Amino acid sequence: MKITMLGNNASGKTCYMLGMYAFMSMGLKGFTLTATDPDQDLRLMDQWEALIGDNILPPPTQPQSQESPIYIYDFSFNYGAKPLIDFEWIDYRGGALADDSSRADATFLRQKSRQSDCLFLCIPAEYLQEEIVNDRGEVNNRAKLKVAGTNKLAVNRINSILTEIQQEIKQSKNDGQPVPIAIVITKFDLIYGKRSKEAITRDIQELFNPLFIENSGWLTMICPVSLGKDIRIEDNKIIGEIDPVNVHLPLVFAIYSQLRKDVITVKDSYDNIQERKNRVENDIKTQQSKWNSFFKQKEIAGKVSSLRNQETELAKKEKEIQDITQKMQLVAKELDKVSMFLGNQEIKASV
Amino acid sequence: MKVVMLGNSGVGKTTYMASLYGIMQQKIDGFSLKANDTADGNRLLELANHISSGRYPDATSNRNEYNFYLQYQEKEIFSFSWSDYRGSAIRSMSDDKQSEILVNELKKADGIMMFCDCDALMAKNKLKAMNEIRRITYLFTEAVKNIEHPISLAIVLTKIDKLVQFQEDIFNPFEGLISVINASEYILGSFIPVACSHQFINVPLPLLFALRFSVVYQVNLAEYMLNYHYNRYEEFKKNSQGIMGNIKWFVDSWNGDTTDAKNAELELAKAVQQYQIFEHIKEPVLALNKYLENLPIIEENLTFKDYASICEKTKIKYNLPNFIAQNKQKQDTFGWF
Repeated sequence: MKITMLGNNASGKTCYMLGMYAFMSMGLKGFTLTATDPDQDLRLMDQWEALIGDNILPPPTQPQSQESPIYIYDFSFNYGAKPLIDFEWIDYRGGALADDSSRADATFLRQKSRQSDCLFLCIPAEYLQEEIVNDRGEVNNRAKLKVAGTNKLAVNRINSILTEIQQEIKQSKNDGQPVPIAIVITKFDLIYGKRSKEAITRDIQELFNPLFIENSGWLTMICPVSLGKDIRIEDNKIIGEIDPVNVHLPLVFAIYSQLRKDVITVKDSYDNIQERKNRVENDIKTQQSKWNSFFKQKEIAGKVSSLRNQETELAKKEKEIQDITQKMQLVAKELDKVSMFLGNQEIKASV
Repeated sequence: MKVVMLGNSGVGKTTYMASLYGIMQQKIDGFSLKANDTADGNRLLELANHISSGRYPDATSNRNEYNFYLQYQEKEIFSFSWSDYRGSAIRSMSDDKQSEILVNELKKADGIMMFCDCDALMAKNKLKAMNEIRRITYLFTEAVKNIEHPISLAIVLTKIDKLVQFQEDIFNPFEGLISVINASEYILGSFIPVACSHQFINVPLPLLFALRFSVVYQVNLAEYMLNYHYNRYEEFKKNSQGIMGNIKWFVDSWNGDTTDAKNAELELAKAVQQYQIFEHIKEPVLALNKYLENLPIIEENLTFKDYASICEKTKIKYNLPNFIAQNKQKQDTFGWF
C-alpha cells in the first residue's frame, strides 16, 4: 500500500507525520505504527525531539536521491504487536505542488499520486477561519477566492491531480474506484471552538467539489488533527504544549480503505473459483451419467482432482476473507465518529 | 533460554544484575542463581558488595553475556543467557555493532526486562522519559511482531527508593504499551518496582517473571510430549496383541520392519524420558507461579491508580547473604594496605 501526502509549503505535512509517528509508535488502543528500519525510527524521533524539546521545526523534506526526488518511509501498522499491513509513506518537498510540473520532483509527485492507494490532502486550519459556505448553502466567493484563488493552498493544483486520477481510472480497465482521500485539517487548534463541524465540512466540500459530486465514487474522510492546544510558530520555532489529537485517524482510514479494497478483491477471486468449481461439478455429473462413463474414468478422475484443488483454494480464500474481516473490525471501531463520505453521501465505516 | 534487558544509560541495568546475583546466592523461596563461569560470578558479587555500600558500577561500555543456572532447592533447573548492553546501544544506528546485536537478540529472547527510571518518570518534564520509553517500546514491538509463542515483559521501575509514594502519573507514558500488551495474545506484562541501593526491594521478581512463560511453556511441552508418547505406546501395544498382532509381528519381522512390540517399547522409553523432565521441573514451576502470584500483572480492567496501588503494596525487602557481607568486610580491611 502507498500513501501520498499532498499539501503546499507550511501546510504542516511533515510536522503532522512526525506527530503521528511519535504518538502511534508508543501504542494507541492496541495499535502501533513502526518504521520497518530501526534507523528510520531514530531519524524520525530525532526530528520529533528537536520539534518538541527544542521547538525546532523539521527541515524541509529533501529528496532521497536524484533518481527518486521524493522521500519514502516504510512503515508497518500493527495491532497487539502483530502486523496488520505494511505500507509506503511518500513525503516530498511541499513546493513541488506549486512548482512548474516540468520540474522532476513535481512530475514524479503527480505520478506517485496517481499510483497511490490513499491520498492525504493536508489543509492548514488557518485557511478555514473565514466562512465560505453559509448554512443556507450560499457561497461567499470573496472568501473562497482568498483561499482557492491563490497558490497558498494549491487547491487548483490538488484538484487538477484528482481530475487526472479520475480520468486515468476511467481509461484503465480496473475496478473503476477512485483512491480514498483523507482530508487532514492540520493545526486544527487554531479554529477549535470557533467553527462547527458542519460549517467546516461545507467549506471543504466547496473547495474540493469534484470529490463530493453525487455518484463520483470518491471515498473521502474529513479529519481535524492537531499537535496540541495553542500551538503556534514564532521565529521558526513551535510554541505551546504538544499533545497530539486525532493524528492516528487518517492513517486508520487509509488502512480501513485498503482492507475494504482487499476484501472485495479476495471475494471476487472466491466467486470466480466457486463458479469454476460449479462448472467442473456439473461436468463430472454429466459425464458420470453418460453410458460411456466407464471408458472415461481417467478424464473424470482428472476433473475430480481439479475439483479438490478448487475446494482447497476456496478454503484458503475463506480464511483470507476471515482474516481481513477481523482486521477491518479492529480498525472500523476507531472510525465510529469520523466524517466519511462516498460521493456526496455521508457514510459510516462498516465491515 | 535467553533474557534481554532493555533500558537507557544510567537506568540501573548492571546494578540490577549484580544485586540480583548477590541476593540469589541464598535461596529465595527455594530459588537461587549460579553463574556458569566462576569469574563472572565473582565479578558480579564484587559489584553487589560495592552497591550495598553505595558505590555503583560504571556505565557498561561493552556488551557482556553471562550464562546462569536457575536452581531450585540447589538443583539446576534451567540454564539461560543474559546480556548486559551499553545503554546507548538502544539509540544507536544499526552500523553500531552492539545495536545490531541487541536488535537480533531481542528477536530471539524468551523474556524481556524493560528498565525505566522512576526518578525520570516523576520529573515535571516527562518528555525525556517518554521519548526513551517510546524507543524501547518500538524495539520491543518490532522484536515480537512475528512471535508465535508466549513471552514475558517485565517493566522494571528502578530507583523506587527515591519515591515517597507511587503516583498514577508515573504510568502515563506506558498507556500505549499497556494497550498493546492487552491487545496481544502472546505478551504477558507486569510492572515491577525495584530498588538496589542501601535496601534491596523486589530484586528477584523481574528475572523470575521474565523466565516464567518459557519455564511454564517447557513444563507444558514436557506434559504434552509425555501424553503423546504414552498414547503411541498404548496404540502400538494394542496393535501387537491378539491374532492380528501376531500375524503383523510375523510380517514385520519377515520384512525387516520394526515390530509394534518394539515400537511400543521405544515410545515407552520416550514417555519415561519426558516424565522425568516433567517431574524435574514441575515442582519449581509451581513454586515459581506461587512466588509471582501477587505481581501487578497488566490487565484490561486495571487503571493507573490500580497499578500505583499494587506497586505501592509490592515491596518485598531482601538482604545480601551474610557470607557476601563478610567478604565485603575482608575486602575493606585489605583496602587499607
